Amino acid sequence: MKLPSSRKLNLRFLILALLFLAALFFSVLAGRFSLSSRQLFRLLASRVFPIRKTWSNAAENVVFGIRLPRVMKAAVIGAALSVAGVSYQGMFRNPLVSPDLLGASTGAGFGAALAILLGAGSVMISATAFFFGLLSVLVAYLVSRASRVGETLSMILAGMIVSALFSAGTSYLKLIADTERKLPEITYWLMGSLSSLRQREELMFLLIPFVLGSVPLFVLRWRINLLTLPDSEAKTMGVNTKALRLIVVVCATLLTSASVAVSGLIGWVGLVVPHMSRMLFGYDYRRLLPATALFGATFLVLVDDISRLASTAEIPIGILTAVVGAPLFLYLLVSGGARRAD
Amino acid sequence: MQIELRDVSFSYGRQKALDGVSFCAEKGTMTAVLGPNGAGKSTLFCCMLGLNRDYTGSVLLAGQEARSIARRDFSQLAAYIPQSNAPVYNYSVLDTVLMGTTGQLSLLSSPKAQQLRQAETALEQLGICHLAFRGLRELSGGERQLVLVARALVQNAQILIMDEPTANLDYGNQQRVLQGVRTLADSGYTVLISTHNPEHALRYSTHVLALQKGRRVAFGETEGVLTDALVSELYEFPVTMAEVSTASGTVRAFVPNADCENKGNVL
Repeated sequence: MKLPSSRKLNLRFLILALLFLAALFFSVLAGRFSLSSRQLFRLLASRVFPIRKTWSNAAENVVFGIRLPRVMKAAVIGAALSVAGVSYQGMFRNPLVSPDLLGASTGAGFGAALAILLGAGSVMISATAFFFGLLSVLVAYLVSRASRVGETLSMILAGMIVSALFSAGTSYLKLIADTERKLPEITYWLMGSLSSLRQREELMFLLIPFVLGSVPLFVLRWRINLLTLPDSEAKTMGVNTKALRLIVVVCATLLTSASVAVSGLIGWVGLVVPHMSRMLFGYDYRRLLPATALFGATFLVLVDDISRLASTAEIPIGILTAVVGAPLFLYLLVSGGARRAD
Repeated sequence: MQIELRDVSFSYGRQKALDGVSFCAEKGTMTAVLGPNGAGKSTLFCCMLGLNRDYTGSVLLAGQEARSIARRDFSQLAAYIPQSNAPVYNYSVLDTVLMGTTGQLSLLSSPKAQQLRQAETALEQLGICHLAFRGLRELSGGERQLVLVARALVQNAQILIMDEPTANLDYGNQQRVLQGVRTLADSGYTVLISTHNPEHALRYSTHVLALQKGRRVAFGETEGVLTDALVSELYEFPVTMAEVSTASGTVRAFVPNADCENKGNVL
């Protein structure tokens, strides 16, 4: 089988980019407060061009205060989790690895539960979750350094150990939490949701770790290819595998922890999206990494639309990504697509 | 470029894997490293590739001590050609070969037109241009091995170190790959190759290094060193060297003295 030419791949990338923009536009448009697409277009353009105001203050508020930040947040989180996932899958030489492999999500979940239990406000909950996400990966990393088995295997094992401890901790916090108020709040938080009363602030909070985590991966993406080879080969080709692996872990952890800190646990995105992008864009990270980011952003924006619009009460997005992601994965597995893509 | 080992020893914990090995491989030679399982061939190669850095003695690449050469510079001196196992991800042949150019690139850059040309030249040299856009998984073992050779060639290193490159290949592919490797040596590369088949050494290599239990048993030009006595001693199995006349002249081969030891049923 001949692989698609780079011209074909460029075209696919262009289509994906257009799809992403369309998804953004549609998502800002859709909602209970109705807007016409013409109105929305003028409203968006008014930020750049001087356009006479023909819309209500309420419309402006809904678009710039609530919907646009939320949609952007979904896009950033989708991109972050997918980029973290695709980087880990390369580094661990395993297409079935997801970004919470080293305990970033379980750690962040524990941090959030702890903060909720102590009665913290939403800013503190996010900050604590972020901190514990970083902490759990740091612990896993240090444990793996102390172990004597191979480097990647010891990281995976250390991640399992740390995850198990933090999830036990979360269970204990749920056990002692007040069942009237705290327990439901913890449970709901852990299901994952993009709804918030502070969409703009959360978006800003998210952007810093997103940039810090994704830019290094983006500029080093050619070298991530070499991490998929056995260590001895990458080293003899001039790659400092130890340093590169550490950079990937730090970046992926920043991306995952920040995402979980503002949105709760959103599974499957970091596993399924890289698979689909590999099927469409091949294995070379020069193309795969940006494509995965765009794909993940589009995916989560669309899934969040279902979460917002499918019923009167919001459905937690963590449930939906599993409901959408798991059958999709099954389809890839059965149709043979996963074999081509793994 | 030559590679020289002086009194190199290496231990895994208390177990000595290499014990005072010395030899020198010159430019334009192909040295076959022979020895039974566990003789220290892989350990030796790891020392020569800068992967094992806590050996004693010295490993000199063009006069520089291996353990003190930075990874990136190392990649321009010696290239490693591993066995062709099925890769985890199905990279295209071209991408795989391009990975060999990484040592020339600065940290943040990726291959450009110049590297692409290098990759194309290497593919051409090995006669596998038509495979450039195929996935690595869809190739035969022999084709995949040639791709790994191409990947090593674009490193611009003059020393090629191959760890049993024919281990997973069928008979015909073994001969084709080895023939190609010998051509590289004749064109000026310094080639070291480990093999389990003494006949490969007999037919293709210019020099032979024989290892047993981490020690050097013999080293020298294939012609004088590789005898039936050496092979019998090395593998603890009696063989006889035979001369067979073929369409392309007389070829020497080792023939095992069957039943010599196995009077009883070994199984």
